[in-house]
Amino acid sequence: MTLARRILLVDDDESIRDFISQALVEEGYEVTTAPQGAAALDLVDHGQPNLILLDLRMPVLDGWGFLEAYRGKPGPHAPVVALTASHDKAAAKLPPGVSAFIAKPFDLVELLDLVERLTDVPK
Amino acid sequence: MHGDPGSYQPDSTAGRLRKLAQASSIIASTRPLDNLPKVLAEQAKTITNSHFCIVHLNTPDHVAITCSEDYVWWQDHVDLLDALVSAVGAADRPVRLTEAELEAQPAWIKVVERLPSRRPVCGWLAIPLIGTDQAHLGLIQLLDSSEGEFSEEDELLVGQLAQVAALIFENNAWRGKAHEVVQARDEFLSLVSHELKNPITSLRGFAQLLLRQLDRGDVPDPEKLRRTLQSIEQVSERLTRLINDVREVVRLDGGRVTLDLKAVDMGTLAESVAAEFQSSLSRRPITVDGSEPVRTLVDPLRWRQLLIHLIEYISASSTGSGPIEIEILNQDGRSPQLAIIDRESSISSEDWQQLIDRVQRSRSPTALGGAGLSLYIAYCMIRLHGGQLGVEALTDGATRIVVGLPSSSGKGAR
Repeated sequence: MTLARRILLVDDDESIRDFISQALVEEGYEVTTAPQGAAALDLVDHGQPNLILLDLRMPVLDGWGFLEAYRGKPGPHAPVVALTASHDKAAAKLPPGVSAFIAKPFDLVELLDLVERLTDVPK
Repeated sequence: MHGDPGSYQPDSTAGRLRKLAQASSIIASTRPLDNLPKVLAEQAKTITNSHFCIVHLNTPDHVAITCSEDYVWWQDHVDLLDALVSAVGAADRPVRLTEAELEAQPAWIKVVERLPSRRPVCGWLAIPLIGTDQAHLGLIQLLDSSEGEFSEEDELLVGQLAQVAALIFENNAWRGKAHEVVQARDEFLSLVSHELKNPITSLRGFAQLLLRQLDRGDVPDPEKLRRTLQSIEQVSERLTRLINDVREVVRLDGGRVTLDLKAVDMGTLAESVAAEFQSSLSRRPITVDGSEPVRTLVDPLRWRQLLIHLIEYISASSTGSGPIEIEILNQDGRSPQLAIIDRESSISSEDWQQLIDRVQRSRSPTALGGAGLSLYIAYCMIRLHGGQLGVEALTDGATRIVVGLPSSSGKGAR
């Protein structure tokens, strides 16, 4: 039996956390969520995820701040997918430590394909 | 007269006008603009054949001095000239003094006291830089023309140069302000675009989620389907509020929001906001604790808006599911307070203090990042009411966000 891959979803928008969580759970992933970077850092201290889906623009501690703090923690580090509403800027300045980015509003299938590829879970 | 009288040939009027034209051209083409005070001092000194020139600029605060070798020592004593400028009102109008007139000035006594063995100053000319709105932009001061005293022609020529310089300084300032306005507008549009993309992403995501379930032949669980449709409805409401918020920020930044002040019981108002918030905006309960009635003068509609935006910001930054607490405190009627506590917030009081510092400094919601519109609008409403936004750390580690109001409120009503 394959253990469920753990996804940490960090986004300040509750409804985005809702629908992505639902879609990932339906695909067999285990999902934890955080509304901003500081809460996400607390969660990674209690268990390393296999993949982090990270909004960049958030209150309190944004995605860039989270990445800096997360990369400062001892490894190994999970791959990070940046979820961003700023398509052009994100493409031009993909923060260090980000494996891929997906621009909002995105196609759900596109997101699920990316998650599957980065967590390497066979369907 | 100082310098070498034998080698000095006074310029003709035509020659001096040529110098003025050249000086104007040099000043107009000076880059970078930081060099302007120095260039202006050099050109004013050249046109008047004087030995010492100091240019003060107000914004940015800048001083430039240029002088003949024999006058270098004056650089350490320019503060003595400040007293003279104030005494004769040279900041507002051109002033030209001869040696005798200088010596008769009470403010000149300091020069006599500090520099007893100085060379006598034969003439002093001060020309202010005045903007088109009569604002004082700076001052040109000249000491000792090669001909001794300054003439009326000197005053006219330097006055003309000062006008050219004032126009350039003003143009530069306006260009800077225009650039800031365009930049702020671009940043605001970028923020709005970002904020719009989130609800659109949710609407698209929920629709695709339902379609995937139908395509798989899943029979939708009625309760899950209801929750999804409720989420879609809530996101649509949020989109409408977002559009209203954008309009509100434009009105706030344009100074077009006026308050309609009424005596209101803060507890009753907070309870109605809590009820509205829970029914449509949040899954978290909201409690209101007001031990005694607190009536104060606020704009009820704007105050509701303020509360909704603050609670929305607090709620969006927390994963908690427990109640958000609202407290109304009379403070003996001196300065009523409204406080909001989220005991499950992951935002520390230090982080909140930083956020509040940022919102107080920022002139645009763009400096506040995600969800910045809510906090920005809430702060603008508090400021309009003449209130204050603060933060307190509670002993159990929770944070108390405090909105303080003046006892009769409404200071900022416009």
